[in-house]
Amino acid sequence: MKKITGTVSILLAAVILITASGCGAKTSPENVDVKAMAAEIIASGAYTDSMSDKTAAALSLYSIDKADVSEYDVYFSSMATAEECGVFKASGSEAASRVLAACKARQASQVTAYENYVPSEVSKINSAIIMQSGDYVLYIVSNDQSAVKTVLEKYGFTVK
Amino acid sequence: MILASNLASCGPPEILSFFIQIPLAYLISKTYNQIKRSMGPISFCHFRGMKMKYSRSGNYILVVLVCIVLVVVSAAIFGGGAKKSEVPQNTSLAGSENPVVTSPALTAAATAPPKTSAPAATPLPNNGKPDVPEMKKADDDFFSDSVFIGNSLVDGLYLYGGVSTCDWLSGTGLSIYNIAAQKLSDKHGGTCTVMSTLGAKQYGKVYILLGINEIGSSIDSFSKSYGEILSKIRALQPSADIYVMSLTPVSAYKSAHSPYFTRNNVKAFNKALYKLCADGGYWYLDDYTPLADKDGYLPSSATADGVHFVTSYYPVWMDVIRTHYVART
Repeated sequence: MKKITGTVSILLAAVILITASGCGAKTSPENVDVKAMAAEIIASGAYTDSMSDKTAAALSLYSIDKADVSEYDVYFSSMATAEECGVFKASGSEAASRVLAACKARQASQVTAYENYVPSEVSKINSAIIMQSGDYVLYIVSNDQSAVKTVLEKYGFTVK
Repeated sequence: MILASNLASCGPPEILSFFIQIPLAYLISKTYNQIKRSMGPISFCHFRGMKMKYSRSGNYILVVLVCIVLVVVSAAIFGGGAKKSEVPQNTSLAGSENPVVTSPALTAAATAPPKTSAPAATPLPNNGKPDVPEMKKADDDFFSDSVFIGNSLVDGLYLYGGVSTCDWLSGTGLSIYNIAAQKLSDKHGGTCTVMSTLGAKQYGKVYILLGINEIGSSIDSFSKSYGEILSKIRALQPSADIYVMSLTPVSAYKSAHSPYFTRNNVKAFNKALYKLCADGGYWYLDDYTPLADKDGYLPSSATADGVHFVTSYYPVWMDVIRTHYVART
């Protein structure tokens, strides 16, 4: 009986440890300098097009409610490519879900726009980094996603 | 009270009909009594040579027939007024206070352009030349009654041109062949089609740039489709000055390495657009010449892919638009 109790205790402890370590790995990045990270992504060499910071026009193009974001920085291409870099800090977890949905909608509309126009851009759009981590939401279409991932990991994002 | 309220709700034709029907009813009654008095219990009448037995009950049939004839005549005279009164007075597809929410595309197709007090569209000069003259540089307010329609180049103009006072109906891949159905961002957080927006709002100036995505198609097909779209736009925007913007130049490299995006093709399409404008009464805004180098190519410093502009060149293009317009009458 004592043996069984001991084994159960060890198993429980292991489960608690594993769970705790798992939680630790899922920690979301905090206090990210949105503008600095976006600028670093653009400078990473991942883009073939000339990119410009046009944050003012972004929310309307993405159909994002201004109240849903507290900070954001968005770079657009010259329109020759679908390359884009959007970094958003949402104003809460529910707002973050809405921003993520808007980014997915943006991806879908870009696929529609480019598939008969510049089909080679569609693979870029389909491999976009679209993710939510805490209150942060990203929409990144580039020519070299591994270079983008390196920057994101530096800022505490885990990209699958 | 009911009669008064019914009269009050009637229009002039209905009131006239009412006052004519009173003497008619009196005449019917009088006729009936005269027939009744003049006929015995059994009589005969001649009808196309046939003798028909006519009984006392036939009096009633005759009266009913006379009544029907009078009613039919009355209805024929005043039917128009009665029909009109069946339609609610405030029903209007275009200007209802409580519009039915429906598909924007359907609304645009079904809705006549709202009446506007805006000045009429500026007609082409007597010589029929559609060229837009060079003018003093317009400020942002000039574009407050404008809408820009077009492809990815116009998307770039929206992002980098520096004008935010107007509406934008642009999208990557937009062409003359898909413009009627293509869903676009309305740049205000929603989606729309070009025609749905033009059907819902009146503009003073409509700028349209299409053609570079269609450059692989035949010029005849392009001109025909463009002409049809311009007619639809004119119908929806009767008071607007419609500026058809020329295709912008392509780079020398692009022209040399692409079967379609060549300088000669761009020039040929622009020639077709010019004719379309002259024939249809639209303004032809030549932005090809000011944006091209002396050889007719887009400068290599102004483009990355030979067609689209680098971001710093969009304001240069916008300046061409700012300095080319017609003074509204």
